[in-house]
Amino acid sequence: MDPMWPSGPPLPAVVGFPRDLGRWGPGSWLFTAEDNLQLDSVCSQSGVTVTVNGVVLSTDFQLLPFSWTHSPNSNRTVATTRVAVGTGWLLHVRVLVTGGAAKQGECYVYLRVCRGTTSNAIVLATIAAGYITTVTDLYTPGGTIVTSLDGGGTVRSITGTTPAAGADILETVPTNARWEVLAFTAQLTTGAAVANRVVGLTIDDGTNIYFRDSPAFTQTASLIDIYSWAEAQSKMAAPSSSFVLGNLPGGNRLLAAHRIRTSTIAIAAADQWTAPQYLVREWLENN
Amino acid sequence: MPPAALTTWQCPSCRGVYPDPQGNGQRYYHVCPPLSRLELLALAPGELAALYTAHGINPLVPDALDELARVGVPRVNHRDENIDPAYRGEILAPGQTPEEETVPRIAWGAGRLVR
Repeated sequence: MDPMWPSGPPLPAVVGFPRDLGRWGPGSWLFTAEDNLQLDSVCSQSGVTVTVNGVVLSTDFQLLPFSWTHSPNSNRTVATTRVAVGTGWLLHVRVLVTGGAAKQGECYVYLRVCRGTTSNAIVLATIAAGYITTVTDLYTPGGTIVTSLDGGGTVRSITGTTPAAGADILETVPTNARWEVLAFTAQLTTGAAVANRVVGLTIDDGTNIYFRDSPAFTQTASLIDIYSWAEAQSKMAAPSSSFVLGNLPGGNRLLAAHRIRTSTIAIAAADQWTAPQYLVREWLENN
Repeated sequence: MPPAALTTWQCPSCRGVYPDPQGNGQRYYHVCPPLSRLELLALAPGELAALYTAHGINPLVPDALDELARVGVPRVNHRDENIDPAYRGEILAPGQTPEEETVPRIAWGAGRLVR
């Protein structure tokens, strides 16, 4: 008995597979007939197709190329595909966006080894993980494992909801996203009702407010003013009469279900906010 | 990739109007705002008093109504299109296209209308 390698059960599912080959074979990713390659994706862009190409060296030293596609969800939920790649060593594999137009930060994939093909399959190891595009691939050997929260994310400009007259704006961080809000702007048109509207911006965790800002500006009846909040913005006097500046916390990170809202003191029935236009840096966050 | 066809929707619960998908093809998830100051003002006096008590707001202080609106009172038929965080994804065969409309949402509210 080899004291360095405690004996285990033989490999009964692989006929003719010498045990020593399994120990000293050419690669670290050894697949028996029970093992599969698993691709998990999290994606925020629609119409994306991911292709997995690779080569397995069989136990009789034949090169067995494989290629298959996977369609991620566009709603940041996990989509999983498991594929048998035969018996042998995974020599190299490449994962790339081959359909659609996912930018950096919009499609994140894990390449894994699992045992089984159903929802009860057991993940044994992660081979590589990271964001992919049509030119930035995920590969092994030599690839790294990068979490979805590493790097610069992607930048999105979003058009929000136009609220009903007399109502304030509310925008929410989507499920499985993490945002840094870089800029947020909207226009308020006040009706003829005489009142001093004071606009504020709040950010909360879905329930509890943890940030409030008010540009300290009073908007009276029958006016149109544009409110603009940004990170690290100097809260100076409005550069022109119709622009009002406000601050956002620098380096903010909003988790899923956190909310950005306007709160307009003395808002009247005929007052109307436009849809907000805002810029966020987004990371995918699969829990 | 050409710009996605913009469809504008209206939420019957809050009357908000929003585009989904966005111009870059990404999905937008509408969530109803809490009751506005004016909607709170239209509540029955007893109902409003109960909300003040529940949120620990003194109704006699100036801007009490604005503070209640800021704290946020959910509306009936509140709609939240975000994916249910408990949803754990799906297993797809190679090449299979996911059926995203079957994914559970947090709250469907009163639906939505093409506008």
